[in-house]
Amino acid sequence: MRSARTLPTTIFDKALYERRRSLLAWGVAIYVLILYVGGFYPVLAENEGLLQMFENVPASLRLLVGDITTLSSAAGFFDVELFNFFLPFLFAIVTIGQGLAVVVGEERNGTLDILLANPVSRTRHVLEGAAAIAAEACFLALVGVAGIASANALFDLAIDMRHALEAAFGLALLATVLGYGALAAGAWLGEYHRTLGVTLLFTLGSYFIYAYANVSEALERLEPFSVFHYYQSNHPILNGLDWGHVAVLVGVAIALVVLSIVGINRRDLGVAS
Amino acid sequence: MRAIIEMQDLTKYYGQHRGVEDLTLIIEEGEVFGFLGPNGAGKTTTIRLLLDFIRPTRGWAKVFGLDTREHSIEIRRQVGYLPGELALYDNMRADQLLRFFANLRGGVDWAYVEDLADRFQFDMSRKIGQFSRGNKQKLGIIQAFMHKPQLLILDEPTSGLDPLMQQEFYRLIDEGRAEGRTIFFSSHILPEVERVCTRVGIIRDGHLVDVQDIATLKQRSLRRIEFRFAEPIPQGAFDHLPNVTAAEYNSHTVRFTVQGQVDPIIKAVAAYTVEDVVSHKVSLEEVFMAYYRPEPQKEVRHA
Repeated sequence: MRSARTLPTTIFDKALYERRRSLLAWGVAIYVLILYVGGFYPVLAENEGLLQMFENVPASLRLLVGDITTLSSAAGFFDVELFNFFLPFLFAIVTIGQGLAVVVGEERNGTLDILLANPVSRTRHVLEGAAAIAAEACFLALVGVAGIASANALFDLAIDMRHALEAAFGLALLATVLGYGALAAGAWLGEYHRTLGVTLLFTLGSYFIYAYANVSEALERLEPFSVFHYYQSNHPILNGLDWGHVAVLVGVAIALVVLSIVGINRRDLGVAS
Repeated sequence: MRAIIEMQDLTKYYGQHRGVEDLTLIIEEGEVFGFLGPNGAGKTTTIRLLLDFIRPTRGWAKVFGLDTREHSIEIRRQVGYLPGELALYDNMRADQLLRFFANLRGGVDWAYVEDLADRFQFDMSRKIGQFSRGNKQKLGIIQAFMHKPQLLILDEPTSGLDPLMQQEFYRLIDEGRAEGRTIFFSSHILPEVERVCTRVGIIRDGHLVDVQDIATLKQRSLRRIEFRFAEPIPQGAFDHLPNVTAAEYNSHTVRFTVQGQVDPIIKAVAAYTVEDVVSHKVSLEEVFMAYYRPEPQKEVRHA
């Protein structure tokens, strides 16, 4: 008799299966973080002095925490405290981790040989890995939406749930793009630490171009090259998504997957370092 | 006979570093081919070229008549592979890994997987990370054989196995051979090659230095014969004899090293009174060791 079907059965669910515990842990952390920040807002709103203090942060310091457009709504507070910095980076830690694991992680562990001894093309391997990255980003986005809904219910924040859904979607999209950056870098470079370096350069470079575009003309000119610009410049939790920006991020994601497929198919596997 | 593996001038460089150079070889259906050579000779490079993990710098290889670069998926469908440096997913259970691979392949008979696990006394319900090296190797063997592939490519398959399990593995090879499977088998354990292979290729410094039938090698192998005579034998008395590669004279005794027929020696020594004779074959190991030793003069190659 055949025993029950056991996970994993495909490279896609193997990728998720291997990271299921860490994914769960990140999900919990994100949920708790949102509730924590949500619980803090009523305290801030009721305290004029504190609100003043936040709004009177010197311009130079403000740049570090983002553009404090309005703290008169919880959505504005979430925009600054969560969507501008913390959530993208927490999401990116997960998706970049997966993006590294798919190719260079398997190469570093020496498991890619035995996996690809099966009749699985390198292209399929990369595509299933890419699907796993997107799935993880979507899972975290759902956790984010659940967190905002819970915060709304618990603390009467009155955050527009449609905007919350859109902002979470944008977040998932950004995290997917950053994960695909790691995937593409790995597919071309084949060596773990170099890949990590290039990925961090891409991620942090994108972030700092966006964050400092207001103070530097040079950086402002570079802003169209920052994926953070397309993620955050419309402040989706306040205003909803700019679908033109979404289209750019989708385009970048597709381009990175294509780049990954080209990269992985043209090189020797498991020979770096 | 159908050629299962063909290589023509197969060459791989890693940058400036030599992997293998100008390998030309045909392995036919049903052969158990031993690929023998010291560490770093290029055995694993050759195997990884066959599976399209790495691409040739020059030359080509075909498996089942299909180019390894163009038709890798079709090839891998019918190949069982055991890597030399076996790395597995430590956080999976063994049965999960086997089902995962079985699902990627399709058409694996799970009863056969269980049968293999029984033969190797292998507990599939445990986490791979908890396994000893020997147990991991068993798992590697099971996943290589479980889909009953036409061709098995095994990179040092018995490393880490205890002698009992090695014997079980040899039986598995024998069965595969009886069923007409082709086995390409890298090793540096000489008795193992002698035990299971029909033919061997010897690779050294990236070059295929010789390909021989095991039977021929054994036949050709050296024999030492020592005679003790009733009278002292003059130095050089037997030096002219055919097939004698060396002769040591020591008053009443003479030691010959012979390659091939011993008849001329027997005929020649019959002229004297022979008191005793001791004969023994040089082991195949000693034959191989001769191949392994670096050449006294290294040829200078221009890449």
